Amino acid sequence: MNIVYFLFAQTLLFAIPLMIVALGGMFSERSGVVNLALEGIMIIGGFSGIFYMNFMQTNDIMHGMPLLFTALLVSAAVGCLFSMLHAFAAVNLRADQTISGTALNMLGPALGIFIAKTLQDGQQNIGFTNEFRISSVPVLSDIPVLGDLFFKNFYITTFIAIAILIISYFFLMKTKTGLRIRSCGENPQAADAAGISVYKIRYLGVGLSGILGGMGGLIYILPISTEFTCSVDGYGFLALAVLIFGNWAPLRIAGAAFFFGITKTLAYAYGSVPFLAHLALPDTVYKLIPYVATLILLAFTSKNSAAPRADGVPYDKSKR
Amino acid sequence: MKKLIASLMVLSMVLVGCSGSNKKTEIALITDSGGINDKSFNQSAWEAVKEYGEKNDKGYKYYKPASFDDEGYKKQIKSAVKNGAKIVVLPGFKFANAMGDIQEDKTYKDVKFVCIDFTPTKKDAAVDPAENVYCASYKEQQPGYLAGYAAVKDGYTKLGFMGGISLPAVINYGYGYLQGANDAAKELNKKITVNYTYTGTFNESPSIKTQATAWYNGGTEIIFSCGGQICNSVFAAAEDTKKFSIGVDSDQKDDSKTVVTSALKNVKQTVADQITAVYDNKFKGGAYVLDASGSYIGLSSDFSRFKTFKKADYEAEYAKIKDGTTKILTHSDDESAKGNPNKTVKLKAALTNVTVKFEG
Repeated sequence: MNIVYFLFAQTLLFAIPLMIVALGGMFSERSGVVNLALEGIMIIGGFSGIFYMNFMQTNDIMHGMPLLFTALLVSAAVGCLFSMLHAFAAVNLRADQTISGTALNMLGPALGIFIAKTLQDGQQNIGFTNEFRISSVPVLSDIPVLGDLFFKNFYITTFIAIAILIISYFFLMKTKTGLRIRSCGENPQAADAAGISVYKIRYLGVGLSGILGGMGGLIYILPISTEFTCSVDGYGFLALAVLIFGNWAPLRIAGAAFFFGITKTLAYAYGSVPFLAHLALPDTVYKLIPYVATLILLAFTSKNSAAPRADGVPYDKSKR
Repeated sequence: MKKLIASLMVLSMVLVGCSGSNKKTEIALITDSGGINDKSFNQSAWEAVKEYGEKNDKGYKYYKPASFDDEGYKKQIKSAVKNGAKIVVLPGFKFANAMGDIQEDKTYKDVKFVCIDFTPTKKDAAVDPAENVYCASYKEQQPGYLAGYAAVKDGYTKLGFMGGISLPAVINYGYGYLQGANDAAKELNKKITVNYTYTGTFNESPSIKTQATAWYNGGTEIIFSCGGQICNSVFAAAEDTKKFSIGVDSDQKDDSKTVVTSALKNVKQTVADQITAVYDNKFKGGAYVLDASGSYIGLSSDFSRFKTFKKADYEAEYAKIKDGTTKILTHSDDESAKGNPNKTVKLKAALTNVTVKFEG
């Protein structure tokens, strides 16, 4: 049973940041703006969150949970601000969204490194102390199975992410604004005719992707490192893949993120799974699992793929 | 808006531009992208430069290249010399191509260069260092050996080795580590298992953390993390599972409480010795391989995180390496194995008490 708990914890390590960032991308794309900038947004969000954390920890101003929550807010705010650059280019200037997204991906790490070096006397990496892992909580940890799965050695960010998933689902699928976002991604002309400001809705969509992307950057780096080097190892792009794999729908995105998380975990932790270890296949075979499995699944499911119809098309009022 | 941007730019220049002292700068350090607080080569070299400069009242300064590529390094070396540098310290292999070009330029033949851990190259092909170029490289297998020996002597029986990319330097650390563990195991009459892998990158990532956590959960007690930033992920995994780790190149005890010791290259001493040699007119260029005989390698001086392993044990073992009693096999003994210890003939035969589980 211990193996299951261990594999589950590792799966979360991969799946949670992927899910949050992919959900962010979903809002942007459902409103009709392709957001390739997720990688850059994650980096800048992670950077600002960690930078804030470093400042608070070294000066002994704030610690523990309050610090984590405020750092998440900082990441979200900066991520949102950063994504506005993309929104401005994509919505107001009607620029090619692929290009402005790529530009942000290049700007993100460069800006982070520049600021870090300028403010830290040439030091590029920002250290932080991970004091956010909760080893157990009273009562909840004692629940059989569930307690071991969720309430031992966990990060509160897991629950924040699950909450975000649920809220995202209701927001996008059940509220008026959610419907507007979706309509702007499918048929902005019709939405405009119905009196919806396509510009505002698209700004909202991109802004939400910035908020979630920024938070995702911080959530990504917290459990896996002791310092931030202005890189998220391509997870922004992986999140894009999860978004497409998840068919631009919240629950399927969550499913895709977990699927990816599980296969990634098996690829690196196969040694501790007796069944897989006994196969004694070359290491490379295990490392191939996530990608091969994704390819196979996509081959079967991509027929039903439903990208928002106006995704990536700048909205031009005069072209009705 | 324009004014705002302009003032921001001025501010950034002011912030970037100030460092160093007023005297004529004779000793210059060029940093790579890491900067002087990188807890690694840049920092160690800078400490040596600073100490010598302060003690002997010489002007010293570090320069950060504007861009971290061959052109940027070359430009920075040239401007450092223009500012009066007589000694230029270059920490790390990234300067290899720049050095190869600079040493051909006769303008710089009176400037002394101290190259840490590399020899000059021209378009990535090795060339001989010129007379004014001192190149230090280190026998990584020796600190690796000491780390493995110390870990096993301290009671650990399930070890791990995570290297970055399987380059000779990394492989030598790993091979040394295995042999050190083996020799200690022989003395204690124990059997040791070692999980062994190259991560293929020098950056941290969730995959490395997962792999390290899997090892720790599978019983591994201590992992020697050997490759730049991957230590961040290994340390994080060690902290989560309350296990231990070994640092590399510089003393990493401040990075994580899990770091029992670090396998060191003594960059600070190397730089200090060479600067002294220049001022004593004893400087001699060429490629040098530094090892235990000059105390240029070793473990951290702090032994408080070991349970039973004492400084005296360490010194006894160190002496054996120094006088050559302990022979350590390296990558060059069997290059065809490409870093997989199980595919080496000699090394595998030598590892009588160590079972290597190779992933990769």
